[in-house]
Amino acid sequence: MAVKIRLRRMGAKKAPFYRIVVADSRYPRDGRFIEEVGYYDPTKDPSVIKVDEEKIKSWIANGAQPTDSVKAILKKNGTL
Amino acid sequence: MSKKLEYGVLLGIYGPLLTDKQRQIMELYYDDDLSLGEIADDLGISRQGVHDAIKKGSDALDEYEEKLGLSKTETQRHNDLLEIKELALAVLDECQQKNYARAIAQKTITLLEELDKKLEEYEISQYIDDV
Repeated sequence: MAVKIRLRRMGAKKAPFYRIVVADSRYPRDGRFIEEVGYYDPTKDPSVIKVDEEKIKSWIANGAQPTDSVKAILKKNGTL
Repeated sequence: MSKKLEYGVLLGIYGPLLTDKQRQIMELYYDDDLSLGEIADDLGISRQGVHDAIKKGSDALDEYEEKLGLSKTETQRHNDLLEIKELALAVLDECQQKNYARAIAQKTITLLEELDKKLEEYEISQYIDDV
């Protein structure tokens, strides 16, 4: 069972906004996820990143895989 | 903004122009951040098929943006509004220091309210609240 840390788009037209969530890779797309660990707002300059570092680190220690886009965000934020 | 997020924005604008199937695949990839393999499993098609659909769809989005430029215009409009708001605030500041300028100050406040209403479109803070 592969657990992933990935983005989920919220927000409206013209105003993208992403939540960073932990979800099983086999969950269908109906929005099911295990836990929300932060958000990412690319519309602001500079983009706003807020993450729960402890949760993310413990999820990664437990084998959760961040996707490439999440990895990039976490790197920018200095969490990884 | 990374490449993937940029396409997410374009998809929000031009998505309705794509075919339903293509849009569904693009949304899974760009908005929900699923991998090619995961989308292929979900929809019961090959990984290659998903990749082709995304490639074709992304090219289409690029073409729309190149020809119509709605995303760029939108960003420009947002920046323009912010700039005007800046100026209006400066005017208000100036007026409030002078007695005889009260009427101008009042009009400027109305203008600012109008601007804020337009800028609200770009605000998404309601999503931050429930995090």
